[in-house]
Amino acid sequence: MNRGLIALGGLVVVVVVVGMWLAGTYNRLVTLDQGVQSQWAQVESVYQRRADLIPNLVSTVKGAANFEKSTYVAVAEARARVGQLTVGAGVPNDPAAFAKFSAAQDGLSSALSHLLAVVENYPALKATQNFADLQAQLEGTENRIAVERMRFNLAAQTFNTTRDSFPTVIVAPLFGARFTEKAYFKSAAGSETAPTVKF
Amino acid sequence: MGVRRWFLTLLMVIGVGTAALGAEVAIPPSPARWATDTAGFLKPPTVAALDARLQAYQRVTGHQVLLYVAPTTGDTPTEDWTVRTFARWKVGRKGLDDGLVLFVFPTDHKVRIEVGYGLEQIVPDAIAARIIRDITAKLKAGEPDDAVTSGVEEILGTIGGAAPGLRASPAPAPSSTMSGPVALLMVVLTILAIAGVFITVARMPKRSFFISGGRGWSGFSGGGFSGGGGFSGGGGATGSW
Repeated sequence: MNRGLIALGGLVVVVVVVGMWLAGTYNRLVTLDQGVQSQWAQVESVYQRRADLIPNLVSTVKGAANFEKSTYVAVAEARARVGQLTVGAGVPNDPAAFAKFSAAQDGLSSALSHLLAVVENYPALKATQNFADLQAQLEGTENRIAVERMRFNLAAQTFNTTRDSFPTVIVAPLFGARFTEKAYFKSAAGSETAPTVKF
Repeated sequence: MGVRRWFLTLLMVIGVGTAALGAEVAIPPSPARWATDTAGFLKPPTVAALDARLQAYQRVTGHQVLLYVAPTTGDTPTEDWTVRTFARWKVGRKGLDDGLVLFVFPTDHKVRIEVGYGLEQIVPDAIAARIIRDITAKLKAGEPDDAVTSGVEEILGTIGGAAPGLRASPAPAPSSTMSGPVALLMVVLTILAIAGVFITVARMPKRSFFISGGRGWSGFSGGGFSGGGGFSGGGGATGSW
């Protein structure tokens, strides 16, 4: 009787301790996951900002005499591919969707930088106020993209470090798909350090 | 012999490491004043006048606008250096992010306007770029004091005295759905955890509870500049001369 009570008491203590640890772990992961999600929203919004500039850019260069058609067609096509991307909070949890997102955005980056290199041959176009403003907006947006990508990677890294540490790594899968490892932007794109668009 | 070779290798590693550090210009601590010139680029009376102007501007409008002149950002790209510096100084009010810094790097021949998130609508990149072009035109003409002074006035004229709206916070992430058994387990564990917290609280010394966090906005009069907790996201414009 007495021994049974002690055993029961011991069991309750163990369950309480484990329960507290699990709740704490869960809450810590929720906080970090929210950080990743809100940073991802920032990343999507700066990419959207860039996509919104494209129609104006394309119509501006179209207006210039004899502008190389293939360059702005490539930009418009890359813009269209970006428009078809899956977006939303689930993307960082899905490596395939993330890779697709990253590849399409990088495709638009390179089409854009090619177009802006070609613009160098059109001094009359470059000198217009409209183009100067567009150029400033594009530069600013590329810079914002670099900043938000870097901050996203930091948030994802913080989450992954906690998630993959022992013993959290054992219980994290129990909490659902939301707590899978987050994907990173690869630095190979070169947009972590500086705006890739050079004028 | 073995030990000596090991020691030499260690020295070499330290040497290379130090050399690598030397190429990178560290992010400076938050400046004590609104206008700072660590490069000796501007005349001291110009810096003093701009400092008084910017201090008064913050007192009236709440916006923290800084001028910072440093020789160079080293190997770090200008924009990368300025966004990290802005984050470290926390320019602008927390939540409003309504700060702005005009950076001038005479050795690099670069000028940058770094705009806080909350001012991006009021000072869009195209406007920042126009101000930068006005500044670089005067710098090219060899009038640094006039260039920076009129640049600051142009910035303050653009921002005006109006309070900006809060930065739109990103949509909350949809919460994941948990499967039945996991949810039940969570409920049970939560009850146990609450019980555990009560036990812990009862055993804790009382004073450890009310620790107020966060460095507030120091409001002591006559004091220098102190960042309010603002952030920037790479908005603004860069120019060179």
